[in-house]
Amino acid sequence: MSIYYFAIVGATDNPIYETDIIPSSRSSSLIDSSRHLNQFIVHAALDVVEEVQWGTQAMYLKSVDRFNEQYVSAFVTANNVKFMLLHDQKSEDSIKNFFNEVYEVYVKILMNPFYEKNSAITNPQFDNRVKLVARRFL
Amino acid sequence: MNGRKVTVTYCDEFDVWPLVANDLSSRLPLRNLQWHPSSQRSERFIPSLEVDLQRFNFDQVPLPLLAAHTTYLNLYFVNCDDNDAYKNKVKKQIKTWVDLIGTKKNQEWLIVYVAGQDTKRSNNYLGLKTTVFDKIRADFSQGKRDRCAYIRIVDPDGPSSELWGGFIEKMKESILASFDMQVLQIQEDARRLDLQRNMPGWNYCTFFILKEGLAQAFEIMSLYEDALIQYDELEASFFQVLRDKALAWFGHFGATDPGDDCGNIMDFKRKDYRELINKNVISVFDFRCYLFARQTRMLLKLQRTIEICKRGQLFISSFIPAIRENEDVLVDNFVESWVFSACMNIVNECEPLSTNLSAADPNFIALYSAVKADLLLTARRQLDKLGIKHKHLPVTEPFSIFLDTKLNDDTAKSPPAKPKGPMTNEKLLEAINSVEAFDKMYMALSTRAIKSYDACHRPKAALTVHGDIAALKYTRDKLDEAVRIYESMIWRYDEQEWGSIENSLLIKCADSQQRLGKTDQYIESLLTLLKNAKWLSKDEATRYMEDLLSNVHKLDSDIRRAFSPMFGITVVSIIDEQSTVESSSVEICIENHLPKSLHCDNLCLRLVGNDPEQVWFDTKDLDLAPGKNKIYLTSKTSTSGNYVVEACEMHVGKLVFMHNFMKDGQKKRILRLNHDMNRLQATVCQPDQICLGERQQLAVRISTGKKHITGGKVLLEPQMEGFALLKTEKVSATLRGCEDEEDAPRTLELDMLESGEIVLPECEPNQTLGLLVEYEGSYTEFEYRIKTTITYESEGNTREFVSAHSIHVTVPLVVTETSIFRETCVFLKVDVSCNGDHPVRILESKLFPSKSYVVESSSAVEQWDLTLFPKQVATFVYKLVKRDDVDHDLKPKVRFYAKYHTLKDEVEASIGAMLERKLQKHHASQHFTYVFSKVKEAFLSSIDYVSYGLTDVVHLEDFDAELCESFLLNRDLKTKVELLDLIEEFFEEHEAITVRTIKDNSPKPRTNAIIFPLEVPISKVLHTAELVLTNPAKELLVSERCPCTLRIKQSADWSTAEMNGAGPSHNEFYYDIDVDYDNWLLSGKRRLRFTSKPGHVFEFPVDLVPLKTGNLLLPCVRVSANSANISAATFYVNSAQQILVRAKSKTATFFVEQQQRFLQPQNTTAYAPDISTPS
Repeated sequence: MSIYYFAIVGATDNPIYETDIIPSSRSSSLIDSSRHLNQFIVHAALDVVEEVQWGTQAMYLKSVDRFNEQYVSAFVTANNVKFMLLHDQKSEDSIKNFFNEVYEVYVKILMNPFYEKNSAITNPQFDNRVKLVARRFL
Repeated sequence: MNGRKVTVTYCDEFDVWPLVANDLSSRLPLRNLQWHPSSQRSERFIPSLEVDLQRFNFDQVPLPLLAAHTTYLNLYFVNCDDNDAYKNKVKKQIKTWVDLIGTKKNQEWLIVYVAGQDTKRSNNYLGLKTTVFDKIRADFSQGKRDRCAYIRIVDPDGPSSELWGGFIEKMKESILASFDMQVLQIQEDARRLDLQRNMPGWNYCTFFILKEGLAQAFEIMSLYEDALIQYDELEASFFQVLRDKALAWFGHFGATDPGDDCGNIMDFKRKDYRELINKNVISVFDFRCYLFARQTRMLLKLQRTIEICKRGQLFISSFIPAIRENEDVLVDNFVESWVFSACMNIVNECEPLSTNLSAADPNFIALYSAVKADLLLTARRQLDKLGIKHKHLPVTEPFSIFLDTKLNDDTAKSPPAKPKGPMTNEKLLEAINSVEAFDKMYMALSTRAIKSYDACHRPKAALTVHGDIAALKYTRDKLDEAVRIYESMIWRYDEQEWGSIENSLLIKCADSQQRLGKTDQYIESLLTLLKNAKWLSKDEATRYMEDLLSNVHKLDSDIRRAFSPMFGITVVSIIDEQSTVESSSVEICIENHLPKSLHCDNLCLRLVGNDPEQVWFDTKDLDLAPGKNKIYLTSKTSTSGNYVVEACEMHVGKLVFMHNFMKDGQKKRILRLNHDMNRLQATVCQPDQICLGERQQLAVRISTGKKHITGGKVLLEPQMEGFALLKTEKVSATLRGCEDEEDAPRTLELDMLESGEIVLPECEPNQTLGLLVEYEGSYTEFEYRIKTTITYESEGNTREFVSAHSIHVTVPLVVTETSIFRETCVFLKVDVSCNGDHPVRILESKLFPSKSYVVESSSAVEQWDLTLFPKQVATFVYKLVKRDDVDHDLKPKVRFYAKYHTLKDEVEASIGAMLERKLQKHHASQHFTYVFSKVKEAFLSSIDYVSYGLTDVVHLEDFDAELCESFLLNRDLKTKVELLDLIEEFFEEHEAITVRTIKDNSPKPRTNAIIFPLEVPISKVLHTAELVLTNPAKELLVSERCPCTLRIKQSADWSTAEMNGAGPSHNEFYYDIDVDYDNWLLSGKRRLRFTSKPGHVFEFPVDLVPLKTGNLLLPCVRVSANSANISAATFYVNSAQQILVRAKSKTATFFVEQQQRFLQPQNTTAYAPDISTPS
């Protein structure tokens, strides 16, 4: 299993949720050092997402960008919130499933009347669910 | 193999080639070929096809095995007019050639008959003699295909010659036919070979060569698209094979040849790849390079540069892992060198083509720039890695993030086993050897990448590169430039809240700024770093915090920042209970999210409202410990009313943190402030004593509170139109101690400044200062609004009291006066009645003398307790006497003084006092002013004071808890409930209040006084008229003349000099005797005009004849002025004097009725019943 970095980016391009999906075997110190990198990659990839999202009707944009051996896959929701997944193995179907599942969880967050659009998601339940979904599909 | 073209051979055994060569060349390349493939392929159109003409070689040169078949057509030029010659020789020659061609695979042939200029194609109509051409045709054409063409040397028809056209068409047909055959065959072969894939002994290389042949065939025919498909299929099958691990024939990875690391990957001729493949010795590296090179070649032909770059990127990145696996045997930095070279190769190859393409298609440049930028950046990243390796760059971010951590681990574990030789990319070598070259290259590449990203609208990607450049500058100690770049870009991450990235950049930026001594910017950076403190480690955060604290006082200019996320702020409540706090405080809670305690110089909270528009609550010099801090803020301003919490500012040196509470979506926080009970307070009202007819005054009552006051200023600002305070030099004031009422108030004169401010004297605690200020306002107004601002010094602090008052100006009494003149005195009658509907108690009445009059006598009673109800009148009479000498110290008018209080004031004052006591008992007296004003407004306005005046009981029945609650809002719940309960309780306790309770509870009775100036004329034309009976001794008899003298004297007491000097018309008067003709007859002048002067006495004789007996009133005499302008009063001495008139007869007969028998015998005497007998 490899390391994944998953981020949800709001409509104003601000990160509203991010997490590393790490297999338990790896040390977390590695992750800390690559955190900036992950953010850099995902941030730069937003440009491409903006470009690609107009060219397709699907919400899942597949892999939009590449950085060395890592890929950035994206998923755009109806309110222009982007799910960005940084991964190194390319298995489109599982990533698509992952995105769809996360989308469902995200919609539930969105339905919360106390959740303000494009604000950071701090709900620990959401975090757990995302990690659970990640374990299932990635 | 270069520029592979279709080869067409020609066999020229008749030396006609030189004659046709030009004509033929001018018709090349072939145009508009239409290929109808015999396989399932769709039809292809070739717009143009280059043809390579070669002389036919009869010697069978064995073709190199791997060379693609390019010869598709063989031409045989024949020129023979002679049938015999043909028969004998030429035919044989042709035959030999045709046979030779026949041995070759898939080659077409065409015999071209070249006729002379004048030769006719068929010169014999009769057909007796056939031409050589016909013969050739008959001999060699097989089946449908016509393999003979006829052309002329120097065709007269020129370029549009039909003959030539026919020939070219035939050429095309033949070439296509040959090509078609070739394709069919290779396809068939390849299919067959592919089927055998799983059979032992199958060789991928053979398959490759075979299939590539097809691709080459397509390429030759300029069908690059189809050729590319072939290569793509090959690539796919390669990966298939790779996955199956059936790569027995790729014995080694390769890439060990010199120059492999920097060879042009788009050059498919760098090595003799086909040969290697064929020999089965090609390495994986070479193979993939070759395949990629071929693919890009096809794409280049198709001018698809974007795809080249995309594929290049993909190829490079996907190939890296494989290379890395074999790194041990490769030269140093092979990966970096190869990736760099590859990227640069691709960009360089595509660049020239792209300039043309972008001119044609405006959309092209954006798309191309995107892929190009990616490639450039990939190349640049190799520099990062090399830079670190060769110590040009430090092993820090952002350079180190491109390092493969795995690689690092490996090198750390096992030092290089053997020197593997250096890489060969010259540019890179140069960069490694010289820092300058390295930097130059780094910058050049980065700049190019940025430009490209900008061109394709990918600002975020460009931003990353900007950051890299800045980091390089930072590493090279070019701090200025680094800072400049950082400052231009970091905020963009901030804008989108990418705190982690922002911080990673800011760390360097802040360091640069610190080293440059740009304190202001440094602090800004530190602040931003701390703002994103959740991305910092605790140590870092602490360090930055310390830096911030140590630098903050060096700031040149203010820096403003929001509270969040470093601090959180909430306004808790307002505390103004006298016993708890010294002065009214706002309690706020500041949460410090920073790791260290922060010393804050000044913390202030702004409330906005009405009068004053804003109030600041502040505190100085406090430490904010990490976590929650409870802070009390006080204000120098004491005010009351509802205020909205607007903003908070926290000053740390020149650093200002701000928070606005009034942002959208936030609920407004409203606080109700009360005046500070312990501090100076002031009220403005109508003075206790009103003096009508003079300048009206306002009474300002200032109580100093518990503090000594060293000085101050009072500013009164009218808040209404037509209401103005008068500027005077001095203002009279009284100062009295609150405690000892006995002390006579000290009277002061206070200065009023140009600005209208009144200077306050020094005051002791608990003193009351009363000021009287004159104002001017329209008489129709009953209510004036005024704002009072008192700025004063107390214990070295400047404090302020602000309040807005509404002053009711009412005169509850009205007075009408009447003056009655007598010779030496005047009687003044004063009628007092209520002005309005409220009963008034009159407590005292007095008349003050004027400069002309002395009050000679008045009612002995001065103290009253008289309740005057509306529509009642109270009358007071005074006797005035003119002074002998005018006393100029007194006012010109007599003044009526009435001390009173209205029942309304009486009741309200008592209820107020009772309520205040109740609140005080529960430590809520600070709310009294507000609560009572509201209570008065809401619940006391409907009291029936007339009924109170009559019954002496007040009924409070109007209490409404809901209404009461509504004005107790804007305080914390506890206060609200407490107050509500207190008020409710109060109203329950005092449902009915008797006059006794009211009097008992009444505070020091505040009585009002009103002074009415009354006009009593000083001068008057007064005539004293007297009717003097000439003979007073004589009795008056009915019908008997009574001579009288009417004596009229103009009084000198009331006359003035000016009256004396007036013209004669002013001195003309007439008298008028009002005779009651029932009683009197008048003889003489009933009315007479006369001229009179003060002191003159006139006597007019008149006769009066009484007509009736008894006491008759003397006729009335009036003296009036002739002119209407002069009012003359008459003092008639005989007014209401009665005179007895007797009957004439002196005898009377009285009949005394006794008994029946003494009945009157004299009937005549019975006729005098009305004769009265004078006693």
